[in-house]
Amino acid sequence: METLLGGRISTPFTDLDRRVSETVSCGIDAIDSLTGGLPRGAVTEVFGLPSSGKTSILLSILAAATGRGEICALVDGSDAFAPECGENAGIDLTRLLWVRCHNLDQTLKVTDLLLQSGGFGVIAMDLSDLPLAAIQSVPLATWFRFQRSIEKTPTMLTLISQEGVAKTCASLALHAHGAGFETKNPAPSFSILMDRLQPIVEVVRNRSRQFSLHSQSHVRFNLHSSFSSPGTRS
Amino acid sequence: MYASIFIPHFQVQALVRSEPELLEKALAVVDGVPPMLRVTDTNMAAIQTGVELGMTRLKVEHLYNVAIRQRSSIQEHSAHAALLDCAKAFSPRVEDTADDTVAIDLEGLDRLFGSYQQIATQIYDQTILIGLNPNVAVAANPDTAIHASRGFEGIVVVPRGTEQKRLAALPLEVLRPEPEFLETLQRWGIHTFGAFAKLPATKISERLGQDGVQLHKLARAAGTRTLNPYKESLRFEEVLELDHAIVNLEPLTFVLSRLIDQICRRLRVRNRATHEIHVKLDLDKRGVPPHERILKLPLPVCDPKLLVKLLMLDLESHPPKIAVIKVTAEAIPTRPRTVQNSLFAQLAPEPERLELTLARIAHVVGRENVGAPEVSNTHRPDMFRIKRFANAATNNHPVCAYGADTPPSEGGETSRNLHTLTFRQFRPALEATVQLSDGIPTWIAFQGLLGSIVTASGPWNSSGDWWRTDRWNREEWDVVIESRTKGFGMYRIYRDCIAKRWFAEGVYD
Repeated sequence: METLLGGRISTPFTDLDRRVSETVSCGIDAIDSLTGGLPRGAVTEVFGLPSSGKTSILLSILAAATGRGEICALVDGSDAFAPECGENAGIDLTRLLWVRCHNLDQTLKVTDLLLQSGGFGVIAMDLSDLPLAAIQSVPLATWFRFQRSIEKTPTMLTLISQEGVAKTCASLALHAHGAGFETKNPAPSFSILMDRLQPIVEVVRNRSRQFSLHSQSHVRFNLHSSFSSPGTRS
Repeated sequence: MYASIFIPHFQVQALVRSEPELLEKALAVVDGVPPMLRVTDTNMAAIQTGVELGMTRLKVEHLYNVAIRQRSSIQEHSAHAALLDCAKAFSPRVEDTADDTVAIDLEGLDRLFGSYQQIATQIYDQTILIGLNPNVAVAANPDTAIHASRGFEGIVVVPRGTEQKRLAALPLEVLRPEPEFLETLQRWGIHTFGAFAKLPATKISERLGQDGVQLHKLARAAGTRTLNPYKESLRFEEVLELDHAIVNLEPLTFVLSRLIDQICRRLRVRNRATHEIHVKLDLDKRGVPPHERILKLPLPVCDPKLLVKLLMLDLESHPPKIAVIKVTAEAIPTRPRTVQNSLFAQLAPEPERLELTLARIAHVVGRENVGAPEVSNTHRPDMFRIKRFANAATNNHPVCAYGADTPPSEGGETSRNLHTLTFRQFRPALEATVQLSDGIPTWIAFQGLLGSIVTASGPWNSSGDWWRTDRWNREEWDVVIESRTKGFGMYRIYRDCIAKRWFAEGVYD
């Protein structure tokens, strides 16, 4: 059939996932080169333990999106977003809708409403500090519904958590590990504690054909501290 | 030329406008002091059933299948306001002749709306749209137009010079004279405009005085008065008094929907939209102030469905405590939004849809938890405010369409590779137990975490607002905690020097 139709209809039986190849930068070159960018109309998941750098990656994604002029939404599952950090990360706060939730139920409801509303460039879900057992008990159908509602739209749903939760619904899943802290003074002192954090980001899942065959599976990048230096704290 | 819109059976139509289900029924409107309530207006169906003006309510109740309603001055006021809006949609010169009648100056409108017949048809259609069934007449002077609209059904255009002939068959009641005046003329055997017009003016003057001469002039269609323009106040208010108090919010949706629909129709007729709706719910208990809500919108809207949904979401969050007996809705008018979309503008949420989504989200998490963050200009930690989120896409900077990835405009490659470490805030800060060694934290325990402090940096002292009761004075430490469950993590802890207690403020992530 494909041979018969060949030429008249382009790729009639190609899987939709493979046809959707539009990607955008996440704002961090190292991750872009590893993943090929974040896929539009799909779910991207970043997970890792505290101090693994996942929140920094999320804010970088939002900063890149607002920088492109897109309207973004942050569904903050545990009200942990610090606007000052967002501003430092380069997010245009006037283009960011921040919803402060206080439990998982609210987080899922709000995300659903935002996805149905449409028109957002990035909808970010922060599930990091919510009880893991509750997150794991969210039926897979919910994530499928979220995925289906953004399919064929330019919206990206990005979620961060301590463990992977979206499973097969995520087109791109990244695992962030904290690779230790480079400190200037290992002993307690009145000085800069940390010069930089070097998280390692590992690709757990990538639906992009080109990059799923990529030989490199992880990348390391620098996160510089802007808090632990005198004069910038207050 | 002048046009006149007349609403026959105005009291009935004003009620039917608020209760459309009465349209097909025989309806008698009663007024007066109970128990002597008498019929003041009826529709044709009621007349055919045997209802007459002046009948007592008791008699009407004996007739089969006649709906009886108390006369509502509120509904009549709303219908009259809607009628004026309708007239104002055509010309700025409108005369508020009576509750059921308005006159319009049509001078120069033929270039905008076509022939006078076409203008009359458009006025007729527009009046139907606001829920009233009119008679429309066009004539060379305002009085003739008014009388023709009161005397003839549907649309009538009276050509210049044929006014007297055209009005000749109309009954004298159309002139609305004093009752004793009408009685005198009828005793003379004068029943129509034509018969009255044939009487000599001097004899009329001798027998009926100047009032009679004036009426005679009107019957001859020889009026020369100018229009007395009505000064508009641009109030879009609709009111509904309920026979039975509403306890639940669900039935209130239907009431609000009807009122808002009527307001939006009026706004549309005047080419206006609204950015603010005031809803007043009078409660079914004496002495209790009405429940008032104000819905403010960041953009002009004229979509009744959207407005009703927003109002209902607001009322669900702030419901009235007692049953509702009267509903008043008022829209503050503004010019409608005009948008010239750019081909290269970024896709953004539709403003109306976004507003509805925000209202729904506010219903879930609370209004204070939704919006655009804004960092406050202070050194006090974690200070920000949440602004109302308005679609910033309206002032889009020119960027390429979706799909094309654009590099950051400022800073170039250097800033692109310099990513800052982010801080996750614990709100509220978690109280911690801290062990110190030589004044340096060495062990910590707070909700969900305990472990030894591997590295610590500090103290970073800060204080402020010493002149206020909520002054702050703290000693911050950045610490790396090694815990069995979560491995290494970098946290910010502080000692509140006023309360003399330790807190974990957040984690670097």
